[in-house]
Amino acid sequence: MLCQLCDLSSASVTISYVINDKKISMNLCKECAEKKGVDNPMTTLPQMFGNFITQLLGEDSLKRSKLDADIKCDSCGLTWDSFEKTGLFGCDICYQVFSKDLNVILRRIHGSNQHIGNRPKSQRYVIDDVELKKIKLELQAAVESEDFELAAELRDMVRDAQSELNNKVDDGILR
Amino acid sequence: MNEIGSQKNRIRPRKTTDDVSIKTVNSTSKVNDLLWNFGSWLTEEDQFSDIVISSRIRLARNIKGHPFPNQASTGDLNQVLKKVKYACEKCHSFKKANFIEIEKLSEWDCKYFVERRLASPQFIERKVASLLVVGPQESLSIMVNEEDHLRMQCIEGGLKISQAWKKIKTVDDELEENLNFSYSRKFGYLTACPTNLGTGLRVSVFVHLPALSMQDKINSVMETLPTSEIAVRGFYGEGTESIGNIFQISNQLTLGRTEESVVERITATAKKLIEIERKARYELLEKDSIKLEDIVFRALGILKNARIISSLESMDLLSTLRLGRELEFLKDFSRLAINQLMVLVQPAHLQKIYNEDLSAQERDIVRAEFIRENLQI
Repeated sequence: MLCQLCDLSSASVTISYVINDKKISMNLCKECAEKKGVDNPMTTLPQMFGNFITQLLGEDSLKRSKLDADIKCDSCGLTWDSFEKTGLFGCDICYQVFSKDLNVILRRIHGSNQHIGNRPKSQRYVIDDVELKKIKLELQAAVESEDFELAAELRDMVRDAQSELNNKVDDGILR
Repeated sequence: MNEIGSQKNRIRPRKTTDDVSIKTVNSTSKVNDLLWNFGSWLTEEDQFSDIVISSRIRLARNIKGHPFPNQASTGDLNQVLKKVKYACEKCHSFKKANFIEIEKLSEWDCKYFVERRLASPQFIERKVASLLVVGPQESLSIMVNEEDHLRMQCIEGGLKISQAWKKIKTVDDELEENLNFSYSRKFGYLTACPTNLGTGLRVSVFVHLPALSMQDKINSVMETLPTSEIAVRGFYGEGTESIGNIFQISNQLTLGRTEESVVERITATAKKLIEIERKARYELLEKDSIKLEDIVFRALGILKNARIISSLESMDLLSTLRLGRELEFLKDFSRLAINQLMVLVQPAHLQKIYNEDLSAQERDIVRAEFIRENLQI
């Protein structure tokens, strides 16, 4: 079997990832494995690259590429085809241009398509204790009335306020 | 056995060291200073260090308005580099940092940083406008213009994931004062590869599991971990044997999870593995202590007497030595010194220590010599 990265030498190393219970593998030649850092016990796990994405998408990817092969990001010039080859987007605008396909990919990879982690400082809410109590009540009401969009926003506010309070407890420094 | 750093006088570089300074943007630091000043992950330990070698957290970030490195022109990359460098200089955590331009390094110097776990193999391949920022004690560092504009990392010795998370979160906030990160409310922090999207967070723990390997239980233990959330990797050579019985446990998913939940999850998984490995060590001791002692002392015998030794063989034997030290067969050996040796016997480190362009065969000879000298009690 030929190396799936360079297509030149014969493959001697197999890397496998298990993503959402689906095993995907790539066969590499010794040289490419070295370049990706697969051979060195004290360095770190190589990130996934190219081809893996195509394997993740499976048949959807083939249908998609026939339909949308021409879609191109105006900002950086990246095409869907080239994304499939490298597994990499070219700029932040790509996330808007290819948003239709992204939902499928993100669900396959992460089982989710909504960020719930940290936000840049500039986008965090500053809330005091009294307000926090009020927001918690609103959050409860939003969940009960199944207004999930509002609930998500309120939950972010609660998280920010709580992490800010924790920080104060941690080191005594007000930020 | 002494700490390895104190043994440097034993090593006789065959040439002067005048010509090996690393070209830095604003630092006079020399590679040999870095060589013997081990990072904190190689000098600090905690109550889990019998099994956990190190904890690492990495954050991926990009700067708004600039294409990601894979689509960027050299001009774009240089602009990003300038912005990040400025932000680092304003950042408290990087006050005394070394700024290292990868382009100006020799191939061996590049590989040295990979072995030191400060750079990825992909990073040293790219070279153009690539900058490595290394904070004090190699704990905090940033690869600029790797797959993403910034790949920050924090490495600590032992199981210190939440401490590492706090440190890197502070750096993230500090850098943000001067950098506008690509971020969307829906997708979180935008990264070149969608596998890092959201938090951009990758938490890893390096664990040493020799007893589970000896009992042939690695696979069955790993199968009990939730594969959708956690990636486990051994380091394999061309065969299926793992090298040095070191395994990396890391989170698989970055979107739809909070950073704290990932930190907690990996910590809990590591603690579970620690418990299982400790139990396996105890079982081995109970069952056939003399056989185990024999394996350990045979490994020591080879390491102390070999004249030619490959990197792979030395990793395996040092792994056994580390187990022997933990089981108190080898009371005079320091755990940290064994960890350090595992790093120092790698090719680029040997090139630096002996300061000479060695062939692979010559390296196997000096490796054996180096190990013999450092294992004298």
